[in-house]
Amino acid sequence: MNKILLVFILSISFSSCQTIPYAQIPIIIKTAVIGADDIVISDQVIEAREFSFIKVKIGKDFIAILSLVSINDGVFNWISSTGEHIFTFNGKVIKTTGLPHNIHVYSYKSFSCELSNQGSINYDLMLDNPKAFISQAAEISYNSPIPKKCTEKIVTNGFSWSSKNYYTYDANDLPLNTTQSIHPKLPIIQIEFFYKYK
Amino acid sequence: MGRCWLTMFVVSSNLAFASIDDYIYSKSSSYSYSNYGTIGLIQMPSARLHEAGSLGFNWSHVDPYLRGSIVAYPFDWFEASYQYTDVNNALYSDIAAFSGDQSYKDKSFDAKLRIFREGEFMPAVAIGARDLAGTGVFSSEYLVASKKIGPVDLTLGLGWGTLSRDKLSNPLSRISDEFDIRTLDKDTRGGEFNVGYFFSGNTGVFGGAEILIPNMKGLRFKIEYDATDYDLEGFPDGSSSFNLAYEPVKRESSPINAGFVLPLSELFHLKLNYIKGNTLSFGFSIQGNLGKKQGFVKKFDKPPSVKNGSLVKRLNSEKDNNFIYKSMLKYLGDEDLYLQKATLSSETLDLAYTQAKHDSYIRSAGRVMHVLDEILPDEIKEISLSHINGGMGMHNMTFDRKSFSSNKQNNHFQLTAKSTELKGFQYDKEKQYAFSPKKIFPESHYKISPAVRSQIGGPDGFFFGDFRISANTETIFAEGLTFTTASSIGLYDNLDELSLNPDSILPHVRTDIVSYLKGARKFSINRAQLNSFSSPFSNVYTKISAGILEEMFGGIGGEILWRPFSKDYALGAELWRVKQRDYDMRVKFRDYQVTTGHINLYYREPKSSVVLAIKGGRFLAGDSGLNFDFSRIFRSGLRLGAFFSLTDISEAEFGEGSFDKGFYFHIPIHVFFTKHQRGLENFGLRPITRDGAAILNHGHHLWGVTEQAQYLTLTEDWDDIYE
Repeated sequence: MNKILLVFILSISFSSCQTIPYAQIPIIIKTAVIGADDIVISDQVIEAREFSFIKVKIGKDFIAILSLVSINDGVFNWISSTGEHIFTFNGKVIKTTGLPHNIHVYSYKSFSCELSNQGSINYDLMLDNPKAFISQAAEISYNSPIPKKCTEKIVTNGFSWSSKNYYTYDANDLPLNTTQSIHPKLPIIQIEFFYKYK
Repeated sequence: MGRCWLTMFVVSSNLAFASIDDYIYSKSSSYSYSNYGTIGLIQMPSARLHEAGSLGFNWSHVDPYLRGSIVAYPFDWFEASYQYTDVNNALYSDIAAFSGDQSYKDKSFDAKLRIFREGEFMPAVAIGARDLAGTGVFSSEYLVASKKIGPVDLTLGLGWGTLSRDKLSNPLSRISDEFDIRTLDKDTRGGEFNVGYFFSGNTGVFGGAEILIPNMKGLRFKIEYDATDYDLEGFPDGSSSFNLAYEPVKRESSPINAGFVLPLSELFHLKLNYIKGNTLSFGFSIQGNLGKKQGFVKKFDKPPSVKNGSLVKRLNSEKDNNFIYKSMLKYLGDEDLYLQKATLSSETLDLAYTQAKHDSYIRSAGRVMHVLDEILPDEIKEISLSHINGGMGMHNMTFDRKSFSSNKQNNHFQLTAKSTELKGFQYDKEKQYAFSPKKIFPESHYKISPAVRSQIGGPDGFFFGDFRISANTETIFAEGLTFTTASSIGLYDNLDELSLNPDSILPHVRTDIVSYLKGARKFSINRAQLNSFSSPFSNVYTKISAGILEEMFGGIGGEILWRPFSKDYALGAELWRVKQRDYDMRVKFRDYQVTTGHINLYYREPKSSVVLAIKGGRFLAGDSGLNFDFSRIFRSGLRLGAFFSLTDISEAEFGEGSFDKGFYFHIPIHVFFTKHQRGLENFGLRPITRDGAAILNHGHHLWGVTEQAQYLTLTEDWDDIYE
């Protein structure tokens, strides 16, 4: 929507002092319509990187590579070159910092994609900007064994925010990719995981 | 039943967990606009205002009116708007040959002031006026209160003028009999701020509610009791102004209006309303706060590390000073920071630089320090940076390197500010520096960009435009000696039917705009100005310019400005001998010539960043008087301003509009981009182009060129030092 405002301001002030960096305008329009350029992860890219990393796409505007900083009690901490953090547990995003809207899930330990774990669990989480402490009911269904796939159906108590999150895992039970709704004010987040050492 | 439902709604909302409300009623942080283009209900105003630094545009269609408005909020408590209304039941003029089939176009200013902020129990209260300096066809005043209770924003108000449907007796009549009768002087040239009739005549009551619908993506329902007396507004049947109308306005069948606002985002709203019991209206609005420092887009432009910085530093420690100078020149240049002169001693560095990338001069100094701190030997303990612009010294900052470095990690910019000496700087070109990189003159820069010239809202048609490609160049012949040009080539226009002839009895210094538009359709030189800048004394700056100074005038003249570094004011003078340019806007001139000049006084109020500029002197048409300009500068660089002029010509001599006035805003383009960059997108508007109080629009005003030569301009940006 910021881009709509920019295009509007450009249109009303076209005739004035020409200081707009016009070379950037096609890029903005392309980003607004098509989205940011994809980052292709080739074998060479994987080879060149020192640490495991994730490719994160939030909506169509934000694509970034985040590198693994640490693993602590099953929580993977990923960091971008500009300082944003995404924490994952079994592929589920349980905490973010530096995004326009952040989350912190407090009760995530019972999340896993196992046939035996199908059923209902609850999460307590803090939403940021605006701040709200909420609880969610999640229904996890085990979809297939190879590759292992799960669907997490989430309903929020108190207001209308529901989502279906998808997870795919490799043979070592490490997440391969996931699609999640992590904050009601953020677009869908897609994550691809690339591991350097298993 | 309705009242019961509303009560239930309010009670249940109060029981809700407050912070979850932000998600239940999403996109609720921005207020919505009324059909009159200011914040309000459907037709009625409310006591709500956006935060300071917000700008908005609203468009609505309410038969027979199409209305566009630009709304600005220079303060939290002040809303100012300019409306442009296409009145589709009246002709532009009562002279058929003049107006043709062109509908009436009404231009007007509205203003609203908040008197009380909303409290826990008390409502916000505002006072306002519509069409306060126009022809008065939508003229009204109001006192209004708004109180938010849960998801319901209630509004109740009293109206005068067109907001007096109930024709109640005026409560202000108890104060004075003058409030009894509203006598609107229609026999004016428009544009006068005639406050004599304000809050007089009959009174009306209005009220309503804006209700946020839960879990509906911010959808709002609005309902109101409309106080508009449609027999007074516009060109009503039976009034003297009806001679312009060719059909009456539809009478209302109900005073209750209702509608919906759908926010597609916090910034962009769509609206659909049913008003007067018989009319569907619709519109949209777009608004945003452009005044906040961080802008709309998060910046991804941190100061980058110097590649192999530690190696460069080690080499600099081992090699001679010449190697250090050259490494500074290279690595600063990589960041668009241009070293001009430098002298190294055992523990200090004295460096002069120039830059055109950062609008925050503290940030540019921080970037210089960031590079130097990475590559200079540790022995250098103190770094003195002097900023140069136009060959003139602007300011000097002396950093304690250790303090800069140690405070960087945790962004303790306050401590860095405390340890840094900031003072004015007079650049002595003759002073011997140990290193002075050879410059090859002339040095040229150019930029090619699209441009549009336009003429909006005249009797010949609503919009006439001229789409062009323009080229801007700057050639630097020597330090402080520049030649700037702006020229353009027309690609497409619809100016053929534009035929408005000026009726001004003053020299046509501006009203020949149509001749200039049509005469320069193929190619035009907008500016070709030679400038010589200097700073002969401390805090004194001069400029001498000659050539094509603006679109309509060329000549020679100069400007001098005394701007004491540590003060909030400046005093200047300018004098020009100019000749009017030919309509083809090339190199020929017309006969009219004039000597124009002003004494200029500037004052920047430190707390509010309000700048007052008063120019007194002789204007282009030979009239003499004062020009007042008020503007507020926000942290982002956004500038919202308004101006008016009073000169020794009569209202009759000035013509339509009565006196010169207008508004402008300068929008910093960096707010839309992820990288820091200088530049403003300027938008200004005068309701009517007239010849009185016209000021020469020469390029590179010293007040702007020397912006960074004032303590206040710099110190408010200290938090940018590590950005």
